[in-house]
Amino acid sequence: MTTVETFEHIIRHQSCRELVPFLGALGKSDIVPVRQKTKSLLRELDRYVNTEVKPGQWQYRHQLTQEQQMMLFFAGLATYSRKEAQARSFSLPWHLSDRGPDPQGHQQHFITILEQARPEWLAEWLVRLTRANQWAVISYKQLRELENRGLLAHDPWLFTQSVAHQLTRYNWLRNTYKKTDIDGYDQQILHDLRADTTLLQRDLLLLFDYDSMVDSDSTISGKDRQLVNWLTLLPQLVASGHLNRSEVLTRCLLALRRDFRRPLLTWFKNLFLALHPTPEERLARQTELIDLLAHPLPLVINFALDQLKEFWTQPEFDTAALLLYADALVTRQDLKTGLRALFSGLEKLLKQDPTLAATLSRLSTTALTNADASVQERAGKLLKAILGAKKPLLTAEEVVETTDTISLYTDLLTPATRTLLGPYLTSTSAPSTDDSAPLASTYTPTSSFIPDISAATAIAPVRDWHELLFLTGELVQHNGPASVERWLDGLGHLRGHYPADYAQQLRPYLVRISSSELKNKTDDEIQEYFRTYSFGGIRQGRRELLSALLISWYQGFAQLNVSLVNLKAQQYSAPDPLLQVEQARLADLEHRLQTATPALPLLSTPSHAPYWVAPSVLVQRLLDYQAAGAEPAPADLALALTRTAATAPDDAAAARLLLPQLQHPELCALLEWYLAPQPEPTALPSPAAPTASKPMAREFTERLSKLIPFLKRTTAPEPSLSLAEALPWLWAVAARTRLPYQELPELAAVASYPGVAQPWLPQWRFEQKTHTYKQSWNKEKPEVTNTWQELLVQTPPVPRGLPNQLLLYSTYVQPPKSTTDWYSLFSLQLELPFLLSVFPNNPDVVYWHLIRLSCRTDEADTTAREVVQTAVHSLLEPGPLFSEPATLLLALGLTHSAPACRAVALEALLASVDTGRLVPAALGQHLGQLLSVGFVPVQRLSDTLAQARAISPLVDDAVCQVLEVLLPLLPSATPLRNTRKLLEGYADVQSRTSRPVPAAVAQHLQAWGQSAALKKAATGLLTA
Amino acid sequence: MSDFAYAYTRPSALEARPEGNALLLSAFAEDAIESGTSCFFWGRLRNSWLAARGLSTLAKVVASRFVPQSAALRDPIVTAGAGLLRFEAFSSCNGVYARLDLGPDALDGEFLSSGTTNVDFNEPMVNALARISRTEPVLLSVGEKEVVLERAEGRVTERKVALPERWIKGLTAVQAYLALMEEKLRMTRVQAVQLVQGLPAGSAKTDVFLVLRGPRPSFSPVATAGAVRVGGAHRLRLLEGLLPLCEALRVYATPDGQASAFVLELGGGQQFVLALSADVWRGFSGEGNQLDALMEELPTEWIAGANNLFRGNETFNPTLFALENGLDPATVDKLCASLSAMGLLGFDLAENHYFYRRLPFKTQRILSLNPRLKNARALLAAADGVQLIGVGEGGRTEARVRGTGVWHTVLVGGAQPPQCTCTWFSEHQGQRGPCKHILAAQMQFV
Repeated sequence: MTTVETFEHIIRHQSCRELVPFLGALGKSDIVPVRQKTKSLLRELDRYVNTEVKPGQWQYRHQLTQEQQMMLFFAGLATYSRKEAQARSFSLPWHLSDRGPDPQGHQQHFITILEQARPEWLAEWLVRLTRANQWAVISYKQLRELENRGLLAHDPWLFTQSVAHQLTRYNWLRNTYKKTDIDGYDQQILHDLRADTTLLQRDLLLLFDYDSMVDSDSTISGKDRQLVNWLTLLPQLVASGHLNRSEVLTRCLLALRRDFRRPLLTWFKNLFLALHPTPEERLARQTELIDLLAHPLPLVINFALDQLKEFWTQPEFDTAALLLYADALVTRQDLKTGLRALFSGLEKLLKQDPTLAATLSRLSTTALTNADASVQERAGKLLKAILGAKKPLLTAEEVVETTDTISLYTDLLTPATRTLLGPYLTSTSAPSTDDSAPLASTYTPTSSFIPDISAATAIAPVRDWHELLFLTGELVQHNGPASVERWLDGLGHLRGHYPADYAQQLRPYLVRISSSELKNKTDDEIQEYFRTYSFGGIRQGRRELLSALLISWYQGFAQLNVSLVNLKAQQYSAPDPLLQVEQARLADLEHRLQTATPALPLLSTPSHAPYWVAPSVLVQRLLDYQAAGAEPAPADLALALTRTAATAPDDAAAARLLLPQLQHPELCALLEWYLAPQPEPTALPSPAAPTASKPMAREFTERLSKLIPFLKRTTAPEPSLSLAEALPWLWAVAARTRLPYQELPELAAVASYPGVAQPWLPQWRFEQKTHTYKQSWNKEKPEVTNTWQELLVQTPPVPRGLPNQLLLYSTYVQPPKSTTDWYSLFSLQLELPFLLSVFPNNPDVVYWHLIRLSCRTDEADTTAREVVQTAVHSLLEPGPLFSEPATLLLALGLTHSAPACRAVALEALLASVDTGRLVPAALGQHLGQLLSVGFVPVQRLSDTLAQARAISPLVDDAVCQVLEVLLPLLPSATPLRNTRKLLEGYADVQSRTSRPVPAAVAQHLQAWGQSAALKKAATGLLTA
Repeated sequence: MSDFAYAYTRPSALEARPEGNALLLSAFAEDAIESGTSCFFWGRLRNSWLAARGLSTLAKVVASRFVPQSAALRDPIVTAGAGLLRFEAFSSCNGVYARLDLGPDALDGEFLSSGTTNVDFNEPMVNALARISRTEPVLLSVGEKEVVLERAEGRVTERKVALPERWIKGLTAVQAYLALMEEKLRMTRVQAVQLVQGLPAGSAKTDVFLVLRGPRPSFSPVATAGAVRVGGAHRLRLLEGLLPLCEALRVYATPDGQASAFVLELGGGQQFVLALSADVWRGFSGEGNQLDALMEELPTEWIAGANNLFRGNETFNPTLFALENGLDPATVDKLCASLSAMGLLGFDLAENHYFYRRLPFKTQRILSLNPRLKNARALLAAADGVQLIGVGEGGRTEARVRGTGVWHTVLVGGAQPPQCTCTWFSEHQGQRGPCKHILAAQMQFV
């Protein structure tokens, strides 16, 4: 047998006991062949193979046994070059790193082989392993043994990592004891540590030099499972004199200078504090402490200032060094606590040494740029002390320079600081806003709204095939409602202009929406793939509907896919109910694309931005249908009605002129009423709804699919209504678009359902909820009760089931089942841009639905937050006066827990002042309700409204009007937290608008004047 | 990592000397071995306190990262030339570019050599910058004039650092963006301070738009006319310490809103530039905004000639340069793109001109640092990677380009921007440079 054959024999049939002497006896010339064989055996054996473990029972099994794995590792250790050793796959087997008993003696084999082979790359390899995974660090005991045997040079970083891992290793060792809760385990560990002088004198101190996991290394001791970590052990080693106290204290401070991880810095801070340094010890380390003031993290600076604060006025304290660093500190916006501590000290310094006044005044003026009110106030107090001193502390030039700088910063000052420094604000110091501010004006809501139906907002149709092709890419990637509608329109009117190889060109998009498996497939293979493609997945929505249409297009409309998309609610999915109308609309388009060349356009694709259908365009499209002998699809017409800008007078007049050409008398009557300048409720007909019953076959299929959940492709298309059958529903849609809030008894025959004869006007209220849970382990607080407010949108009970899906304004009357709330919300998040695009005239139904689903509590998750943000964003568009749900939505947005929502809501507020949509009294009312029950905290609103300050007189006036209604709704006896900030904001806008304080507000101010926190702000307003 | 690494022979330090502090920046220039340069500047800082604040902010930028990523190089590169010292750096995520310009008014000393070098920014030196007082004279040395410093415990501290490739790629993209930028807003010091105070709390996950509302700068989540798009606006907090010290702040942005820059006029010949990429997750190194200009392979001798010329001039305005030399502006753009693709050019917004960085002239970097360009050339090299379908109105050319398992339809030429059916184009709509399919079609047919 050759050496390599012997080696292979050992690996396959023997154990480490035979391998170790074999490797020790290897000659130089044998190293490379054995190395090659090691690698080839690894390739062969290190894999999982499906093996029949019992007759008929298969299991994937690792071909490599544990012993073989160890042997191949040892072979690598003995024969690998540096290159192979640095490969990621060459790592230390877990149990070799001293983690407990080693009956097979592998750890000894490890040392023996290393002694024989003495690889040059050992240190480099161990460092690499540890850097990749700190838990894989070799034990300190092993490291020391390797060092003692001359196999490894002392590597400070590596030894640090190992030391910082020792307690975790002690924790593992507990498993080798009978009882894992070992009494006096901490003392046992301390005993081990004290016995090792090299550890104490050399390696333990390295913990202060390198980033390690010392802050999380721990074990437990005793029955009461007392935590043992380095923070408990090191002070004991210091106390027993095994570590030098002075050195440890200084090293803690030096470590705090470093850019270590925040938890590690906190650990060094805690260690310093755990040693309870005396004032003398701290003063002796003032240089190290002052140097910490240059640290980027506030936690270090706050700690340093806290340690120094009692020495400021002591003669040994180096004031000059502190002031040097203070120069840089006062420009930092991230410091609050630290700066407050600094200014407390600076006040003392001024009293002790008035010659510092010039330096201190410069520091204080710079600190006025800090956004924190309390920092500003401290700086202001110091400035006041300097400038107001009986005996002048500054020269005349310094006074001028200081007051000029203060004046420059006037607009940055909080009301409290401005009051404090009032005497020193020169006339030029008035806020720049006031310099250019035009005269105050009064905000009045604008009641009329006319949609912009002009060339400026007209949407250009898709020009040619190439535009349609690349628009498909945009649709696949982004799915924005505007581009989707353009695409749908283009798909129709360019039918007949597709190039011969259009399906080929669509293939990149098909691959993207379905599966990358389609790459490199032939046309036949792809056609076959889509022929049996399942549209019945869990998450189905508009994206899937569009994908189905795209696939139909690719297939040349040989197969109609849209209606195969399953939009029924399932266990983990609740598609938005409005999608069924969209499905019917797209299915109709798909059907016409199959049969007509070119296809008639959809009635409902917007003609003008954002989602308006011009009345004349709608009528013209209907005339085109008439000319082609086609009947409009009810779903399409329903959507067209909700999108038609019937209140655009000029275009509606033009449309009315076209109406006589329409030969469908019922439709003509509907449009005549709908496009009238002032449609009269009394002019509505009393159409009776058709009674629809499901065909027996369909009933059977649906029942069958319920019984067999895995039955795919069973959803047959809903039989669509004819136009004549759908007319009663369409009348309801038209009526509710034009007259959303009126009682329309004429429609009572259509259906007895909210949103038809009666408008759907949900009520909303708050309900306090509590939840109590027990925590027996916490003896101090065995029972915890959480209380919160819930916003409930309520509708009187309605019969289950919508009479017809075409009743678009009744779609959301029925609340989703509580069990599917989350899935409905998820669907809403995905579909909201489309849903809002359906109702440009009157989106209230969507607003109520989303308020009900996403604003139930103040603690919103990401999905709910995105829903609110998208909805509030829609309030930016021009439109009619904000309705009740729109105002409520704005109020919820302005006080939302997510800053991003509040920012969008602020924009909506400002835009609504510009467009006159805002109803200040209603907004004040809603905000007052939200605040007074504690649904949201006051601070959120005060912070948001502060950003609307001094933008324009009109905004100031509108905000003032909102606050005038809001303030009297807040509790007067026990003011809410941060009411002061709201009052300061009110005082600010009130002074700008010169509006008198209303009696209701004044009455509340009188009451608030009794509160210490509000006295100043309230009396200031009353006396103004 | 890049094709070169460098090492410092001693650490940078702020040393106390009898005549005042000395800020000794240890340097390693890639081409210094050839030129024999060891020191670039030696002299005093006129306003050392302000310069120290600028350098601290620069150190803060290099230490920052806004996406989970390991820390990269922390040492800025310094270009000495044309009477200025320019300290440039990127954040570790490469989405923030910062530059401190110390002009003639800020320096009182001698430029011993023009050149570009990395300087060592170690932790103790950066911490020591906070100790510089307002009135204290400070000597600045970029590189070693003479080896006079005692080294700790007699050891030579040598720190090897590999320059990340993305820095050079980032330098290419940044100068291209800066050259396109227009001034959008100008703010006073107070407004500059309010800028950071008005930042939305936490990390900005969506774009915000900077606009002046009344006298106050505001960050709005909604785009309005005149507003500047600022992606990842929380990155502006890097400027917090410097804003209260500036005399004025100017805000620049590219017309397409893909990058913005904030120029702080610090006074005394000092200026600090902070440029932000379009989004937090978008490093400048991945932008590909120069690919159009790099598409056409210019003769190497042209690039070498331009390199020699610009190396001598140190700064130039591309329009004036084209006029003076009777060159087509498009050719000058291509020359600039080729040189900046090697990291050789930077752009000064205030002066509206390019400045030259003395880095090694390695034309192979153009391809190696632009994989999309390299892949496009590979498509062209393949037998049937790019096929012409037809030429339409106005020279609009339709081509089929081989993709991964599919063929992409590509339109190039004509007045409209190029288009492709690939995922990259659908996702970015051409805003992050052309895809390899468009590049290949353009190289073949336009």
